[in-house]
Amino acid sequence: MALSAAVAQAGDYGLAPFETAPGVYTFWGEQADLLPSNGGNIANAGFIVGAKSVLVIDAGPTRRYAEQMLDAIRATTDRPIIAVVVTHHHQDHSFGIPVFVEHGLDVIMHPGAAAMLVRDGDILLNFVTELVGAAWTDGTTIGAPTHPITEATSIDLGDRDVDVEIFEGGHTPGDLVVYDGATKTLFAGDLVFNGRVPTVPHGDVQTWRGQLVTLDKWDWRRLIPGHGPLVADRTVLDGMSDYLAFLEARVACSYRMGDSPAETLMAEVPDAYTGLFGIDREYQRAVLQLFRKYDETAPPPCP
Amino acid sequence: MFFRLIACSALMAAGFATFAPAGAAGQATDPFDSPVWRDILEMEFDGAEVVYDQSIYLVVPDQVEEAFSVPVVMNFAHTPYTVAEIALFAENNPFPIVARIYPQRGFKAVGFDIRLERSTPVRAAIMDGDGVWHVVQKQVLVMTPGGCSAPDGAAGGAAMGKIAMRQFVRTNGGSRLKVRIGHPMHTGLVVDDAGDAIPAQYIERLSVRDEFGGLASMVLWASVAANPVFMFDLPETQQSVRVTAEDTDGTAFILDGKPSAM
Ligand SMILES: [Zn+2]
Repeated sequence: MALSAAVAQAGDYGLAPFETAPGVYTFWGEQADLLPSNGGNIANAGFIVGAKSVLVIDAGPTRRYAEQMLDAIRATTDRPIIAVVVTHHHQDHSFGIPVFVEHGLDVIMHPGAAAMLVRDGDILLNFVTELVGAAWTDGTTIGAPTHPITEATSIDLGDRDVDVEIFEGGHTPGDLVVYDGATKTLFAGDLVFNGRVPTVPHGDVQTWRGQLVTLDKWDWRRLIPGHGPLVADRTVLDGMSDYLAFLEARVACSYRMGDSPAETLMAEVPDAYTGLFGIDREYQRAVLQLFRKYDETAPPPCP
Repeated sequence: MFFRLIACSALMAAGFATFAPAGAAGQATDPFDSPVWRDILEMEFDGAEVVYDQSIYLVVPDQVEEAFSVPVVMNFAHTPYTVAEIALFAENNPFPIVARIYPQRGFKAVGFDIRLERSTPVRAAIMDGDGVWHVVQKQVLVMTPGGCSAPDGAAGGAAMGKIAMRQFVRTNGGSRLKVRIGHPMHTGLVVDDAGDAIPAQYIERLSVRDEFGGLASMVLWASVAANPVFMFDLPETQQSVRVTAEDTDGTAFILDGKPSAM
């Protein structure tokens, strides 16, 4: 296929799988905002090809994405796809679900994530459509898992067992990660952001930091984050954890002094974090959301 | 990723209102030269003298993502005149006047959360003891418009009419009182899932008093955010506070209590 540098047609994601490890493929999303030029393709997805069957990780941001992803997978392998693991409920990972259901494939997701999708799905879809345009989101609907799981699960793809592990209450109520022991590759979903500021509104910072410690100890050689490029260096996890700690401490201390969030936001973000993609927006949003959260439940102690 | 992301390249926290000495000379003409503001002046100030100076410190983010709840603080710590009345405006909102505040004794700051429909100057107008209005303004860039008309991410959470108070002892010896009122503050411009407009219903009157007497009464309009947190900087520490609020449906909310310390 000859790819020119021309801008993709609205509706055409131009998806190309990259073989990140033997039998492990990644569709890299753009490190960008939700834009009409990318159709919301800002998160990473992928698939693992076993001797007998194929497992997909994440369903993509729209119906069109999911359809084009299935086509791209079938152009790569003729082994049957058996299931998709949806790492969490955010739109960039979950809005392709109905396509998988229509193809008779299992959709594996945490029930906590499924509940969030029920609660927020339509509002999210409206926002995404406003930002990227209906040419991309046409036909997209909110789906539900066929297989909600609350316990770690192993999936047999023939020559390899792939592990689906559960992380609750860190980034969202229910995040799943997928580990391929054969290649020591970890699909970490949005538990790991690389070069991009993590989004905290549905989670708990300390729980999330604990989960990063757990992931750090696992025997992976390469990690495919929910956003950003491949992670081979474990300090990426430390850096994320540091940012989350900084964020929580700044807001907790400020809240405990009685500041208005307007006053908190006057303080500069430390240099270490100003290079993260999306810091200008997400930092402000996180500060405001943590203030609202602490109005409901007391903030942690100021360290 | 969460939702509602749009491109922007300006750096966070790059520019907040900076404090100029209270004595800085004012000017008689609007620094933004805004025709909308000219109309508001005519309607709301009834020919009174208006001067544009830096006599108060207006704190509001200069760039806003969550336009449905934007924190604003008006700080009078260095204001060289008596604050007789305060009016806050977001002039490009469907309802440009946000609030009128009638202080009943001195306080050093007042703040609460507002909605911004689109990018707008936010203006605080303070009437001194001689009836002269001092206006301070700041341009706020709204990255995701619709703070008054899009479904509101902050509307849930608190129970309707639930009032909570908190008190913070400040380093200068005074205290900061925060009062949070659970209320969806419907603007009347939001359409629900079924396509029907949600009727306007918002708190339009609020008064606060304590054992030292009345503190302030406020008249509010639909540009105040859902579940607003009102804060006041006071020279004393309160033992008992009464908050009275009434919304446009005539529902009254009253809380008597001692604010809990943080
Ligand atoms: Zn994501």
